[in-house]
Amino acid sequence: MTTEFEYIMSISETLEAGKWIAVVNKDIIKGNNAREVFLKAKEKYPRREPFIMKVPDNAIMLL
Amino acid sequence: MCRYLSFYDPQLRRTFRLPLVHIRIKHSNVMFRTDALVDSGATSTFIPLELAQILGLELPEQTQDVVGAGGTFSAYKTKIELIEILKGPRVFCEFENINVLIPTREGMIPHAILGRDTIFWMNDITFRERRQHTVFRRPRR
Repeated sequence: MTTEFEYIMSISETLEAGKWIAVVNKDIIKGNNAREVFLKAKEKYPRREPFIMKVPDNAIMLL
Repeated sequence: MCRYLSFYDPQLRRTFRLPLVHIRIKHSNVMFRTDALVDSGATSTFIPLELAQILGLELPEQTQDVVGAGGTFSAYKTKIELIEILKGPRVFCEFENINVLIPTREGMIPHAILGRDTIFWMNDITFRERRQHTVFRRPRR
């Protein structure tokens, strides 16, 4: 079984940079706010555990 | 072993790769999975404020200063019930009742960050840049 993380790995270069996403199966819910995409995913898939991430938008990073 | 994730920078018009791992965060009956950066330069483990808001964490009034590459910023110190690190659907490492730092402002950190107090304590970690993957090994006692 492919996890949402593995699915994202396979398409990560095509994701819109800077957006928050919630992923359940292969359904990607996009938005500008983490809580908003989480709640939308839970509303649509109440029994599923969503995968949430912010698509990174900057190749140069120093934390 | 975890493969790096590859993303596209629209400004520089090139792809870049990050050593991200798949984690599960659970607190007060809220549970989700996200990505986390494995960061040997971080002394602590961090959760972005945006994810703390999903968990409904009660944040303390007091903050502490954190020195980052972009300067000093403030962070709340609190505890999270459970962080699991996943390989595929399986848990290969878990941390219960773990101390985390949460920046007081949104956008301060782009990912959860697993620092030297968690994942590096439990694993010997090798970054293989040419092969684009991270290797985790249990340290010998």
